[in-house]
Amino acid sequence: MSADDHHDHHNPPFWQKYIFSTDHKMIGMQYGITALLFLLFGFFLMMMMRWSIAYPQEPVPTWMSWVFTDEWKARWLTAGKVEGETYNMFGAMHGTIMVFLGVVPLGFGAFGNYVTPLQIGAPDMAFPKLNCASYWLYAVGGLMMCGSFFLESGSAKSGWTNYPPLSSFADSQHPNQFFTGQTQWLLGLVFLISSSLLGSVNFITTIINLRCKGMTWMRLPFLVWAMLVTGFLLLLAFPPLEVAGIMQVVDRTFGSSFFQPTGLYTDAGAADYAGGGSPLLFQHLFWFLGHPEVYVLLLPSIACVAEIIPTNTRKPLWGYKSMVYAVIVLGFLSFIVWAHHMYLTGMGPSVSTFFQTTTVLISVPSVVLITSLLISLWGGSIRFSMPMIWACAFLPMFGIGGLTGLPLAFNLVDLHLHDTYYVIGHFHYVVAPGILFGLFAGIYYWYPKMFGRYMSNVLGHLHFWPSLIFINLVFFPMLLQGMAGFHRRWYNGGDGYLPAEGSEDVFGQTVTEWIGLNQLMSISVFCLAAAQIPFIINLFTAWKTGKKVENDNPWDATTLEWATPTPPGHGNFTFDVAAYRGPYEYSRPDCEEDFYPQWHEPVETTSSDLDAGIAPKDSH
Amino acid sequence: MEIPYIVNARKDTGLNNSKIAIWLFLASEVMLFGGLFSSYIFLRIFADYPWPERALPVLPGLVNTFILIASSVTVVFAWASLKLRNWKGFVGYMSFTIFCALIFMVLKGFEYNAKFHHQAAQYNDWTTIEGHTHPEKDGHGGNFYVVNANEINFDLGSYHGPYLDEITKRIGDTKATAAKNVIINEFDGDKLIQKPLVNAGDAIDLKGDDETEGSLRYILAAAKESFIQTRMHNEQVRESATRQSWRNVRANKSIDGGNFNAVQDLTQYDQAKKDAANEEAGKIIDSGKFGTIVDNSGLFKLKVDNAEIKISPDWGRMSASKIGADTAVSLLDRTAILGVAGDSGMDIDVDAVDHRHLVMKARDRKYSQEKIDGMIEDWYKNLGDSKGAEQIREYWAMHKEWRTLWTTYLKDEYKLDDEGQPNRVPTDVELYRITWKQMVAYKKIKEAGEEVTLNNVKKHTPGMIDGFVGANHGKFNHGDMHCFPLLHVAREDIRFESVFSPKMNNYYAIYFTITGLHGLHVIGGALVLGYYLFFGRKMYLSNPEWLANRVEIGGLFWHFVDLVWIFVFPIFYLM
Repeated sequence: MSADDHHDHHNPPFWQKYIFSTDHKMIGMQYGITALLFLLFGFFLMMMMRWSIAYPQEPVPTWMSWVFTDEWKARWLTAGKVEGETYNMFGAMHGTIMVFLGVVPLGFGAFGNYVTPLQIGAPDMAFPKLNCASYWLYAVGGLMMCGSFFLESGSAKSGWTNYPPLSSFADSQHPNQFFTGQTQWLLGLVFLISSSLLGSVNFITTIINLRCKGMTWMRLPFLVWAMLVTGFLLLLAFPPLEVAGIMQVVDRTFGSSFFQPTGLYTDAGAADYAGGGSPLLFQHLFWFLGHPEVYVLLLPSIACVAEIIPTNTRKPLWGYKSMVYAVIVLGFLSFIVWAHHMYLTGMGPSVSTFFQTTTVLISVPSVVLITSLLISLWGGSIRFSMPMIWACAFLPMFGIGGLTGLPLAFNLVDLHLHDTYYVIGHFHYVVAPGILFGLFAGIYYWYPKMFGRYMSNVLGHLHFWPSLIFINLVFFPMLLQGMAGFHRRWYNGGDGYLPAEGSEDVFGQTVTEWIGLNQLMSISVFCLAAAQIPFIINLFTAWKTGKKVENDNPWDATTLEWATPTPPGHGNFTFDVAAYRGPYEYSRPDCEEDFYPQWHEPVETTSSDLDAGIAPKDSH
Repeated sequence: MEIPYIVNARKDTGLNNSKIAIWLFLASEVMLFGGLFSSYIFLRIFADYPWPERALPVLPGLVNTFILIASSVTVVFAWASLKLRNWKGFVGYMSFTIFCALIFMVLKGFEYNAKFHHQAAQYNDWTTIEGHTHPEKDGHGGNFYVVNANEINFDLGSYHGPYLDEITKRIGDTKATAAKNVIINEFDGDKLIQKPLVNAGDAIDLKGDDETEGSLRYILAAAKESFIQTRMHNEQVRESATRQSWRNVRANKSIDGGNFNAVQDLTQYDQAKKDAANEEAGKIIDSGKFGTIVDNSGLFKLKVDNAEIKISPDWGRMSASKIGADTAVSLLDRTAILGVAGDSGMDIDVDAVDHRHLVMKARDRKYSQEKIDGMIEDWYKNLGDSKGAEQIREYWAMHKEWRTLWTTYLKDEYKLDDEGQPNRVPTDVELYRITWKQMVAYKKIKEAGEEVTLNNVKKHTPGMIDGFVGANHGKFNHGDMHCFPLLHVAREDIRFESVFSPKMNNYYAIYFTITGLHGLHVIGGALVLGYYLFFGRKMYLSNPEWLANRVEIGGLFWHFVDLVWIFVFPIFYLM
């Protein structure tokens, strides 16, 4: 490499450094910022929905509705109120954005990209250009989906699960099928799948082939294992959904009937389809992705927590190996539980029983993970730093999410709970105070490495405590309402079921009894939104005004990302990096300090180092 | 900074980066096509219509199979040539590979094209005929809804330019007038200015564009703008009225802030709603009051004088299709064409008649064989008196003779089993479908004045080459030879019609989806290999091993594409 080349690499033009960057750290940050923006948008849609649920007869307040143009309001609101079709639009896009455009890109895209190569001691990802393409496919796919709000048809309205035949008829009455919300949703999805395909191939290759000297499999930090398994889930689970998406596009644009059964009638008479298709086929293809996707959401987050806990308890991760095996088993099992989403579709009791069994089985590795993390706290000298507080909140919150899922696994109980707010409460406990808290922990934890400054503790606490309180006030009442039989898709929160005075309608009375919680939850949501303001301020101001880090390893951590300069330059490491020991060597009795980083050369070379291909120091 | 293991393998894994990546990518591709093939199985198992077994012409598929296999061999030779540093060999083998891809796609194109020009129409009794439609002289396909229109309603919110163009073209020089007075609303701040745009009975110019005052497009554009403005205005009035009434309710403290009493809240809601209604009543611009172009149901009504309008069935649906019936064609853009139904029937050169779906439905209902046979005979009786109908009835008579002979032949040839039942009986295809090849054979037998015997039918049946991609209308329905009878099918007799596109049924849908995706893979692979061929020279000179690696990766992908076809060919063409 000539000197000129060298110079170019360190001072690339703006567009190459920030827009079409091939550096995994910049791409990670691009993913992170884009994902946070999408999360914000998804949150906003949810606030509109929550308003409609709690105050169905009242116009959306101006502090929320100012974002809409008058023309858009005239098309989609009625006297300033959100009604069914618009609510469905918000609901479908809220789910889609949160899952596909928010949490996955934040967990896998941002943390995966930024941290994984650093932790395995690699100079970059194996395919930097593919990495860049992956980000841009994601960005374009996401913008396609969200841009459809401005189309004449509005955006997709059939839920993030997009079940036909409802989704097949949605927006089907348009001359230009390409420019309808539903088709844009499907095409956007194909972009996202292509993005995750490139991403997962890149991650797995990097982890297999670009580990530094001495980085044997059992010396990989848990985060790397989690990313490896996540990569495989994305690689193998997404293509069937792509198939379903393509088939639905064919249904829409060429009039085929993959998912249209024979004899469908609409308000315009017999549907002009050949028929003979199967809506159930779509559900199978969708949930074949849909369930592994849950673990795609979870694993990066639990991985962040698994990095933060040892550092902040100053003791090794308890049961590292069992966690590794558990995460692999979890990956396998996640492929054979999908139909527990479909107990009530009429696929038959024997199929249901099979999937009930596998679903209960998968709780075993999940519990291994969460228990190991819990026991890791035992006897540690805990530093309640900002990341650690979030990680500590993750454990019980995710615990509630996981345990409320168990009843749903049993198909008899699911008869009662299916499609109620209980389900909403369950999976939001998993994703919001669970997974998102873990990812917040990650942001606070690696921020000093990214920018050389800590995020503010004061703002951090202002972010954490209200978030913790209000998020529980949002989701816990959902479990109660769900058990009372509140259906998850009521756009007016059950308002339509309120009984007239003196009525004997039992269900109406149940609704009367529990409907008040709607207002509690919605007010909590608005407070939760306010609680994110300190975070946004913190995120952008700490970059300039935060306390500077004392050295490259501010948390006294052991994994390789802390061996880089702060922030790491192009190519990451400034010395010939090697891993001499496991990832969590804290409080070793034979060491003076309470941590023994992976990259510190040992005084004496051990036989396992020799096995791992590290030559003794003298022979250099 | 350099990424390690781009060219050379890492010692402990034994692989370079791209080798790992391509295998991972192929694993993902396996899941993709696995999903598709699983869908094929699912759709076939649960099909409630006769699955078209062996319906595709085998020869092009077979040729394509050998072409892809050959190209998979030569791509390995190309790679080996690079390894041996033999550039000329590489160029030769790689060119051959890409040439094979080209041939493959061309053959695919012929197959697709034949299907897109092959029409099927299913009668209300589930009998299906297939054939070529007689297109209009100006090149449109011969499949239309025909309506003698007297009124056309354009939906201002959603009318679609191309539809509008087609309709005005079809109206031609027929006189068109506005059906009602149209007043448009303009807003100057809060002040409403209403202007007449056009009056009932005014002649409308259909040709001018949206800048020509008084033309249809101008009126629609102006009315659309007014419609949107009015809708906005009304929404603002309603919203602020509702807000105000809620403020009033709250000011009366009739809602108790801390106490969530749903029933009490509901009465408050009702009060708020009433207040809002009173408040807005005076301000809303009501459609009843000001003519046609206001509020949420904005329509522009155009009166025409019995203009014949032909619309493709893909664009909408027709409420009644019997000639002379009052009908409405509603298009996807919510335009409605009202009038009297014309002749929407299709002229089809029939090259196959298929009763299998009818038989399947009848068997589901547990009908006796006699009843089923009677239903089929009824279909032939109801065909009418045309020459084509007569010819089809003759074919059916000959076909019945043939299938009797065939049944006897099978019984004699394959003997009876222990219970006295024949070991082989004719398939439903043989019993209930007259194929195009049989039509040709029957026609030739009749012209030659021969008897229907198995040998004669076999003798006159066209070979594989004659029907390379399907029924050969050029050869057998041309000049003196008219093997495929012309039939006029009335629209009201049709329950479903389609060309042989994905719309036809799920067999063709999955066929087009899988072969289409496979075709995209062929094109993608050929582009990558072509890139190595045409732009690889520079890398060959600087780092030949790297180029060899790349070709190896591309070759692996090419083998995968070949492998997919190895599955596609039997399940679609042979099973």
